[in-house]
Amino acid sequence: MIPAIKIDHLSFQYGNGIEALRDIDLEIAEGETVVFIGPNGAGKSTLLLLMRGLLAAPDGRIQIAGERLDGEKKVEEMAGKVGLVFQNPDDQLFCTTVFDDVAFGPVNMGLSQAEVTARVDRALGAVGLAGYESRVPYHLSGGEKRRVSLATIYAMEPGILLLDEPTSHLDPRARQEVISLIHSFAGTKVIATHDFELILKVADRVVLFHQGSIRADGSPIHILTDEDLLRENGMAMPLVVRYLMALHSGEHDGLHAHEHEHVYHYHTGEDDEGRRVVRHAHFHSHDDEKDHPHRHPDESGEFAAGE
Amino acid sequence: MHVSEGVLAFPAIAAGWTGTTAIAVASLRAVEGKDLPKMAVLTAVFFVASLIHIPFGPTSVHLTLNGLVGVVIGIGAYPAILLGLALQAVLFQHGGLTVLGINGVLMGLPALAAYGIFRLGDGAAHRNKTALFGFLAGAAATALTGLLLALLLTTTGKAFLPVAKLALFAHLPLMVVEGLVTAAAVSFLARVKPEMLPGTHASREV
Amino acid sequence: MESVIDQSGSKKSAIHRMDGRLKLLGLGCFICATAVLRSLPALAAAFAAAWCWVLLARLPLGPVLRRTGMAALFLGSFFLILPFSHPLGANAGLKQAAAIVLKGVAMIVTIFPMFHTAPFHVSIKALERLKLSPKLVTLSLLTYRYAATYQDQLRTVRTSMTSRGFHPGANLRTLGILGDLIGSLLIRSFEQTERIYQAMRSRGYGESFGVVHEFQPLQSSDWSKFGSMIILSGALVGLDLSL
Repeated sequence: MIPAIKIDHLSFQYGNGIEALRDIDLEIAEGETVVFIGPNGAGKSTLLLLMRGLLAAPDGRIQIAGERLDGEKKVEEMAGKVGLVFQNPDDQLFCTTVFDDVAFGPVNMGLSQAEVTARVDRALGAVGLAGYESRVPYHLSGGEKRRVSLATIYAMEPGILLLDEPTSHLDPRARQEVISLIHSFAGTKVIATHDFELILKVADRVVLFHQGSIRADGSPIHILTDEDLLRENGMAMPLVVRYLMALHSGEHDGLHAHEHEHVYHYHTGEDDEGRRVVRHAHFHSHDDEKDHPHRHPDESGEFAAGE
Repeated sequence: MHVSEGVLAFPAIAAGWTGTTAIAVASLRAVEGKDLPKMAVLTAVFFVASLIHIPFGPTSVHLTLNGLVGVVIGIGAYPAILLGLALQAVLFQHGGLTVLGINGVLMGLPALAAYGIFRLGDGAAHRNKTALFGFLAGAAATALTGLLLALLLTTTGKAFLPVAKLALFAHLPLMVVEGLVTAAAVSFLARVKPEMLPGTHASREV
Repeated sequence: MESVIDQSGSKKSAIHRMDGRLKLLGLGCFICATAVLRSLPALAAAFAAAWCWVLLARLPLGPVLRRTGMAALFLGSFFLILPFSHPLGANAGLKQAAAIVLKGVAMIVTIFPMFHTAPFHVSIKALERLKLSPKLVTLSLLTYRYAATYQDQLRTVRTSMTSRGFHPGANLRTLGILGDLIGSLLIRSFEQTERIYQAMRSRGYGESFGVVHEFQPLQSSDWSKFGSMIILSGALVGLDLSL
């Protein structure tokens, strides 16, 4: 099986000499959903640009569906195979109507007027924005813009979708909609994100980047629950993962943890239907703790910080 | 300041269109497809910036910024300004359509001159050369516009001499204002993103 | 950046329904004809005709009058100058001032039915069909589109400046702040253009792009409207020459 994306020992430097990526080896199978995580500046977005061919990878180290990327010409040619959704919709919604933006790709692919219209209809339908053809992209809401951006790429019907921070700056409802849309895309997906809910919902595999190199590559749960790994690589364990671990652990209630200056308190229990829930949780700063230490569980029923 | 519709006689209008078409065609030839997004975005910024008005006593003054456009865009400044003028005419009814040609010459040529003047400072090593040449570029562009406008008005007819003189004098304070704003803007660019400035004001290679 | 007048108009008038290309050609011809007129009767007729286009297009008169009023005020200032400066005396000066006002207002007012009876990008498409250079077409579309973005950004910055006590005035500090403001807007936009260009390339952009808009086939009503605009323009010029 030809991998959808294959990267061999790729290193990349910006024009001003700053090293962005060091010795990247990566293989992504067709249909897989891989999520890149890592602090800002770790190289995730750069790698996405390289995969799309917008930055020139040295010596054709990148293969997309078996084709080596070399030279600038490949960008236009690869449009039907791999699509990149940028972080800021304002950068990629540059036409005066939604129809024109979604049609832009298909028109450039040389399709007939009828086929272009058909593709636009399908793409807008897929993102739930049928009827938006004559709207002005700039005036849409954040969630709508994000969906139009997706539609602009869907219209080219690529097999591989690259997404750079697809859920940033969205309100909770819009976020859920975009997460569902991403989930329903059937092809190969590579997503750079800080959104842990997105990861937990769609990722088959997580790759952790730090300072231009890959520090971990494996199952989402293994990487996200490895607190030391995350901390060493400029990340913090998300609260939702802590809660999940607390719920999962089962044996003892009241997991607590120290992180930086904060102390977390949890109290898990069971609800009326016997389901395990986090009943009480809060955090406060370490200094508060020192000045006003909590009492122990046997005394109050709540749980204390402590070693 | 641009010329409004209705004032000029046909010969001036025709001459304006001839001139503008020639210069625009020549400068567009130097612009490639890949430059278009950059030019468009910068034109948009200038278009929007020219709507800023500074209160000045009982009235307010609009910035033209054609000196700054020249410095930042270079040769492509001519079609950029032409487009800006066309948008102002169509969207806001400033200036006009038949006088688009002549306004293009009035605003666009000085922009190109401003670019040239700014480049004169390439060899200089003075600490404040950027601000200085920025000021000169901005002021010169406005001065040239004023001169050309005055010239144009005098050729329209003897009756317009007072208007020509008025235009000329009105441009004097404008020269100072535009010069100062241009100086401030290019200094800012030199500090934060010098590669946007032409010549040796750029301190790092891209 | 959308036209207030276009948005609030009825959008169903004879002018709105006219083919975009012929509309621009016809009204453009009218403007050119008006530009060469010299006699007051002919100019008065052109002035009346221009307002006829506005009424035919059923455009909201309030905004039209407001915008035209500014230009008219400026042109009207010639009444204060020309009677005194005209070599042939006050009468000639008055006549010339009147000519300027009639001509200028007629031409400016015609811009509304010309460009404010369709979305901007459709007008650009019409110009493209009328052989406007593809580079200019692309430039126009992109500039128009991003002008909206930067206008909003400018507004945001302006608000934050005001909320920190800034009052613009005719002083050095204001000019310096303005220069910094424009500089920062330029930088942000410059950085954005690289991303826009990448987005365009990743969707196959080559040299230029236009609008995906198909004009309806021309109908006889389009031709008759166009014809009447041309005939009217010719009549005005003829009238002018005979006087």
